[in-house]
Amino acid sequence: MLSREFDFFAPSELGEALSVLRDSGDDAKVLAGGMSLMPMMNLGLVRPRVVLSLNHIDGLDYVREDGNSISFGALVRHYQVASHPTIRRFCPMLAEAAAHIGDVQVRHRGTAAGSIAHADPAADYLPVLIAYGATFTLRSSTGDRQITAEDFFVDFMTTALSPDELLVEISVPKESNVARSAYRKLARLEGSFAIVNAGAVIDRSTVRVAVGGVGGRPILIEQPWEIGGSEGSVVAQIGQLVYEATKGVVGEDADYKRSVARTFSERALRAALTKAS
Amino acid sequence: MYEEIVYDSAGQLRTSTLMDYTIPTAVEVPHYEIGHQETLSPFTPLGAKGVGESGVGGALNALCSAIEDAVPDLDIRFTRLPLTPQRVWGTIHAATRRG
Amino acid sequence: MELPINVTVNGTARKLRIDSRTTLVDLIREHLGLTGTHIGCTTGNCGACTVFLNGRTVKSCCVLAADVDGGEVTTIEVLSESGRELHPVQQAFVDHQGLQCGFCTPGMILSTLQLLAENPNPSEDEIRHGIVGNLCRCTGYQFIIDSIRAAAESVRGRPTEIAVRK
Repeated sequence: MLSREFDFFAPSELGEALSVLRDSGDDAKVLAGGMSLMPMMNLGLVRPRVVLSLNHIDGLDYVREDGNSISFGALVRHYQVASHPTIRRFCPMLAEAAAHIGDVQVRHRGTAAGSIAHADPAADYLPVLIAYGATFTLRSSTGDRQITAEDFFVDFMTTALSPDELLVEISVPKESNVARSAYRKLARLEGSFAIVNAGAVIDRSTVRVAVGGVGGRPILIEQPWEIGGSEGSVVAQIGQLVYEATKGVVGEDADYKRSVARTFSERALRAALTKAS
Repeated sequence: MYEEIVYDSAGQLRTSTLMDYTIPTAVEVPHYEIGHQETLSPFTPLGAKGVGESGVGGALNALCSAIEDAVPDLDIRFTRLPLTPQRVWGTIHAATRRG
Repeated sequence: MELPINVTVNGTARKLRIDSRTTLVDLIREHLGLTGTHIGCTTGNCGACTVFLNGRTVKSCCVLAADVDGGEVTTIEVLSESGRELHPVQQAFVDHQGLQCGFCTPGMILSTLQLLAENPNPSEDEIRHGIVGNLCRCTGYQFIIDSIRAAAESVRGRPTEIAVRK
């Protein structure tokens, strides 16, 4: 049994959920997968007065093609992101990252939207969404707004979400048919939060590599790329840029972190380059 | 390689849950096969002796020796466990600078 | 906050009145007396609390009981009512020494059922990934993997007794 009493709401309509959120303000915590919230509540680190579950709202677990993007809803669980044929086909790096989250049980329950809203800087989705240039739809009882992933992640576990808003949709541009991508992660145990992680996308004329675990939010390196250009030199270049971009990393492991950030950004990029497009 | 009990400078235990105290999963623990090498004790009726803890030391040393052996050009010696990635990296990089 | 919930547990519909602070594992162990499900950590790491919720394995220490209203929960007890005649997966663990203290075992067995429902012939690597969410301190996992391989052979071609959603 958890320690502090709380009111529990599990509405069946999104509008109702948004009203609860609006009326509760900072007293409420949103519960979807619970894979971040429940451990903290179990340890007494988080003691909300209101817990608002989204788990009984129908119609939030869709995955659909929207022209040039893939959009999916707030209740899509990690195992679905990892295995859904539409996501695997058009945004394979996202499916690749989701397969590395936690373990089987965690992936059955945890949601992509929840992980994104929690914004742990070492979360598997973050560099992938930034490298892809994803956008999010935030909804409150007064309306919707769109925001890019880059703008959404502000700092360590801090996002652009207002207390009365929910992240209701994630929209990821489809890879073109010449694009290649890969996700690489360094972690102590299989499925644990990354020490560093990197998502690399090579498309027609650009290379984008985002690296997480090196600050409050992932860093993004973008370089022009010529098809047929020297792969060895673009990998080394990106690695060097990542190394320079991480000079603000502090702590007794700073040298180590900067070194592995470079190594894993290079590995992600090399892995993407070796994929057939 | 994974487990360490860490206290901060104020004496607070930092690794008090399984979130922080990392126990290896089925993916980290390698495939192993068990063999038996029996030398009976001459001092007990059945030749039996305690086996619980004494085998562990050999494994820990073998692990350190394996890493030291993997970089034969470097004069490194591990004197502290666990062999976290940060510690192994730091030891190797300090050794490189010594040449 | 007290609230009523309707939940089907091991095939039986239950109407319960609970405090909102009750986790699913508390509900299972304390309210329903099903103590085969264990609590090892409360942080979602060890998997000793693994149960099936609506057809998929979850860590019940990290689910609120109030949140399973209208749902279906399946625990280890469903495999063998008497404890004398064991389910083939349980028997495989006994035959291949897949347990020592037994604390992780119910969770391991449910994860095995989840794995075999999706992958009836898993490789060793796939087995390891299938139980990555279940920590064991006693066995070093090898004997568990051997048990799961034997279990896979034993149940292949026979429907698993728990309906697992694909």
